[in-house]
Amino acid sequence: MSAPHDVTVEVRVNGEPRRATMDARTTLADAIRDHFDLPGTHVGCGEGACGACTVLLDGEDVRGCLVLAAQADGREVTTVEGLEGAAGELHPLQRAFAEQHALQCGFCTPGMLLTALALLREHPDPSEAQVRERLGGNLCRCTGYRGIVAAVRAAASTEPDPPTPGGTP
Amino acid sequence: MSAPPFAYARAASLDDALARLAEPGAVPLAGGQGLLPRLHRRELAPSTLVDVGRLEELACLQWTGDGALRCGGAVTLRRMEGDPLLRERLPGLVAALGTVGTAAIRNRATLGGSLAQGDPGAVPAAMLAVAGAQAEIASARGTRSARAAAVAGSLQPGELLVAIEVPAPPEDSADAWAETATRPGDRAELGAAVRVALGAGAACAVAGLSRRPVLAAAGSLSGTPGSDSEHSGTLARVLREGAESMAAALAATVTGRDEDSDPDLRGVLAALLRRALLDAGAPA
Repeated sequence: MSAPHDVTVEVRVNGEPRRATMDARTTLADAIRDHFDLPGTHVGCGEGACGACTVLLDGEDVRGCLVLAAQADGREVTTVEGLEGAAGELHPLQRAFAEQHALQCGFCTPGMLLTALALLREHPDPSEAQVRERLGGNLCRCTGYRGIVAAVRAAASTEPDPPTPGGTP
Repeated sequence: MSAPPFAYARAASLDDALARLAEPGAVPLAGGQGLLPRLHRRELAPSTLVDVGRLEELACLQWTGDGALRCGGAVTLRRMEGDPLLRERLPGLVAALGTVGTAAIRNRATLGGSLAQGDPGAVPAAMLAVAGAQAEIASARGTRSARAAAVAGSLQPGELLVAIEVPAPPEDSADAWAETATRPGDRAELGAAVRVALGAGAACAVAGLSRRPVLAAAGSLSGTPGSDSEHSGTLARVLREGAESMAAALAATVTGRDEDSDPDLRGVLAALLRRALLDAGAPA
């Protein structure tokens, strides 16, 4: 059954074509969690301030809470679930996060990972200042950021050309 | 879902968008970076969001014959930051846009959206104001042109900001932005856009005092024309020597010269203006 304000959204999520009908006001982050059953994308503040819901839209990092799912129609979305390799192995960024103790509670981690991935695609070997600048919109209340910055720089040096999950550019 | 219910329509063309925006309660949606937080806070309740984010007519980033920039209303700030010619010709504007939010916000935020929203601390409105930019605004009734400084937050129902035209900056001029914000990337509490031009003086547009930037102009900057490097050297020297007094004069004009005006505000503003003027004079 379809309500008067429903929209049908078709996107490729981590390379898989997905289609769902939802209320027009559904954000991309909520659509990913509630309609595409991928709970790895976390929703924190809901107004773009915390960065937890960051995903890639056509390869660009965006706030999942500040994009309507309808605006993403026809586009490519990459979530944290899309980072793992073909055999289920951790992405180099995820491995570096584990090795560098870059997470505690893990709520901010998916947003951190996708923001870092977008950074590494633009700057394969970022300076500490570049990492801190790019992650400046992603809040973490556990780690104090030191481990996160170290992990992104470690991933950059171990993996100069991160794989592109979901066929995003 | 925290936003109030609304219908969503993706405009197929500019004409289609204008026809849809003529319906009562319809509101344009471009990047949504200003609009969606307001919707989530239930500060407005549109009947329909008309998505203009993919319109070709709002996507241009081109230079006219006389060196002016024509920027479509739905061009993202990050696209502007990444444009080599724009970085070369309007470096102050590009640097200022780079202070808006974070990259993830600027990947979606549009120049037209920021100007149309009229956020008091908005960087684009102030920078466009000192640059003397004009906005082209369309509705089903026709098209009008308005100064960027006057257009911030003033769009009427049914209107759409189609493009912004930034005139070529004068010779021997520079633009810069300085702000106070709780953290980098946060909305500015107070911000100052400045344009300095040898022989013409300094102009500022102050953001954060009211919905639209407050404009002021002061002084004249004299220098000796010469080669390109001497030009920038001269501008830098004039600003090093004159930034302090020029900032004080601009701050006094903005806050008013009467005894009742807030001395703290005037002091902070003068400090910001001084910083912006020195930045404008710093060699690239």
